Amino acid sequence: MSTRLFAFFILLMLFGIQTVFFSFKNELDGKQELEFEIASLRKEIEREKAKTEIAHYELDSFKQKVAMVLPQNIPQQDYSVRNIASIVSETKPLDIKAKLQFSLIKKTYLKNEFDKAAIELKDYTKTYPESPFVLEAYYLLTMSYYKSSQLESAMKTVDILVEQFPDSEMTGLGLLVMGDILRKQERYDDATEIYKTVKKNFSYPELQKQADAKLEASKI
Amino acid sequence: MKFLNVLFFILAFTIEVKVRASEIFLEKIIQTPDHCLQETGYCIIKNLDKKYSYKGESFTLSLTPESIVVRQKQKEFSFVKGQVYIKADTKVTFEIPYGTIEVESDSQVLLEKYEEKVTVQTIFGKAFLKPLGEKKPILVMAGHENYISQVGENFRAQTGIPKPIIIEPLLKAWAYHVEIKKEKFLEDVEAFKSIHEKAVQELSILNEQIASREIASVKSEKLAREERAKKSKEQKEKMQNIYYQRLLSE
Repeated sequence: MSTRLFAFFILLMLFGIQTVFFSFKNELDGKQELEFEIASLRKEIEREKAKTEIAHYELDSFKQKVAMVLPQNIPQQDYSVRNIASIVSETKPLDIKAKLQFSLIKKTYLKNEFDKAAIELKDYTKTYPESPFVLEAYYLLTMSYYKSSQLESAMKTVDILVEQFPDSEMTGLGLLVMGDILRKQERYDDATEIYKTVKKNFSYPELQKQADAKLEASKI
Repeated sequence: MKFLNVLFFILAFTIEVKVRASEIFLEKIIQTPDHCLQETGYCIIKNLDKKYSYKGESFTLSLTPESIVVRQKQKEFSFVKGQVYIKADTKVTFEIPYGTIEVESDSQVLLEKYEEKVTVQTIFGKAFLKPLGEKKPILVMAGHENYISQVGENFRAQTGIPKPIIIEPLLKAWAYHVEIKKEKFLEDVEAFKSIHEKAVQELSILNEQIASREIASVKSEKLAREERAKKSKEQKEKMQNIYYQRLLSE
């Protein structure tokens, strides 16, 4: 009986010492306070994260509303608004403008107004360097310069064609024009070389026929 | 020996109590403004726990970890992030950036947001999607799923074609969210199974119709494309002739 009582007493004492030790330890090293601080900081982080998500949500909602409303106002708006519209939708108003302008210039060219066409075409290649019509524009620019006797400018434009569109049929045509210019400048050997180059490097049958005709003519 | 056992138990219990004490401070959900869940107005709810169930008036929402919803009014929410299961005895509305989702009464619906897309899966009942820019709501019947995503080139939020839910992932998610007895859940799954079978049958008929319509439209599109190519070729040849003629005239 006394052994049991003794064991119980020892057990109680041990428990008491442990409790006192832990409470003193927590009080003295401030661990509990730190834990509390960490927990509240974590809570604050989570709260801020939630607020950020809400901000993203609101931004996304705003973007959707802009994307939906803005295109309807495009015809009445200025260029800057059109530019914003191009971000939110896939429409490309500049492409349409480039196409329209090119067809107008082509009309000028076909009316044999070569001086005017040369100015407009040069301006066009600078304004719309990525237009799908830029290759044709360079060729027409070469021809416009050639027809308006601006031979050096025509040669420089053919250089651009060779540099930027080496495989195009238009470049072949431009080179034939270059050959003609060289002939006009009485540089017959250079002209023949150019025609031969066209014949060798371009597989378009009509172009080859043209090059042959020019070679024949240069022999005479 | 018995004495030693008791001693170890007391030591272990004391240490356990100490460890748990630090965890008491961690909350399972974030609510902004503080304690807003006890009221009925605006409240941002973010779940940090394994699962959180919000019990509203005649409806229950269940949120996966990291999911966020914003309670705007009693039965109106904004769905911001994650996955939410709704069991509604009354109509509940969810705003999303791309439109609105209406869960009708007596319905069970699962909403999931992934990147720029919100998927709606109707288990029972029905839900309506109201995409931005679209005048008519789109019905998502039981056993079907559909999605809403960003506003597209047609200036409307994009939606898909309602199709039967892929059953396996749904069952996992459903079992995760529901808080009913296993027997009742199995009964519900049985009921859903027959709804799903019907949805699959309906889809096969719909697919057949769509396929024949698609074939017809592809054919007409091909004809139109050929016509356009022919015209463009003619135009190109005409211009080429002009260029060559000009070159020959030199």
